[in-house]
Amino acid sequence: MKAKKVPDLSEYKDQWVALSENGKKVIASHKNIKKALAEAQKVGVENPIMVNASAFSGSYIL
Amino acid sequence: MRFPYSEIPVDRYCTGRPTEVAYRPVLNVILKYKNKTRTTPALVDSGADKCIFPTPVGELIGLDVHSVEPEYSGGIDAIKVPVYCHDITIVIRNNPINVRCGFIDKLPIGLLGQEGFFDQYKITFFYKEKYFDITPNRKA
Repeated sequence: MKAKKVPDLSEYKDQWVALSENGKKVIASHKNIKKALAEAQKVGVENPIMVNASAFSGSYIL
Repeated sequence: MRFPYSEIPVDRYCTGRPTEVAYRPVLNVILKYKNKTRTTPALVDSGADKCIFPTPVGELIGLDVHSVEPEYSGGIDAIKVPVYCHDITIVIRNNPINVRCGFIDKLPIGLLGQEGFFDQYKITFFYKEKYFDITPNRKA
């Protein structure tokens, strides 16, 4: 099975990002998660995937 | 249920740009509380005692996250942080599970941990083939 590529979110440091429903495209971003969601819904993406950009940029030991 | 690993660009040396990729067992889940739902990624994390999500995501589904007394939990750096626990539903590919879930203010990504996830599913990782399988435990 092919791994699923996650977009590079390094330019959205410390922001919440609303990704398209297939997870491939950044629809909106904002430091406030509610504002990021509202911006995505404003352009017609009702149920974006809400991601903190820092989750997908650095290394983790959890 | 079979899921692909996520291929994530990582900035391992803090250069401001990703320098390599990491493969992580991440899946998109739906968090549900009353009639509100939101989709967010979660890392399958056998090292987490319970399922934990970022506080802002909990607030999106209508939880008053800080309205309960917190528990305290630590990570690799041993610093204890408050964890606010609430009963919610996590939906994984149309399969709902009711979970006592923790919320942490500065957590960057959801964690599917032992209590609430590993106790309900058998999880098998196939790193080389870049997928993982999640199978519901048979009821006794």
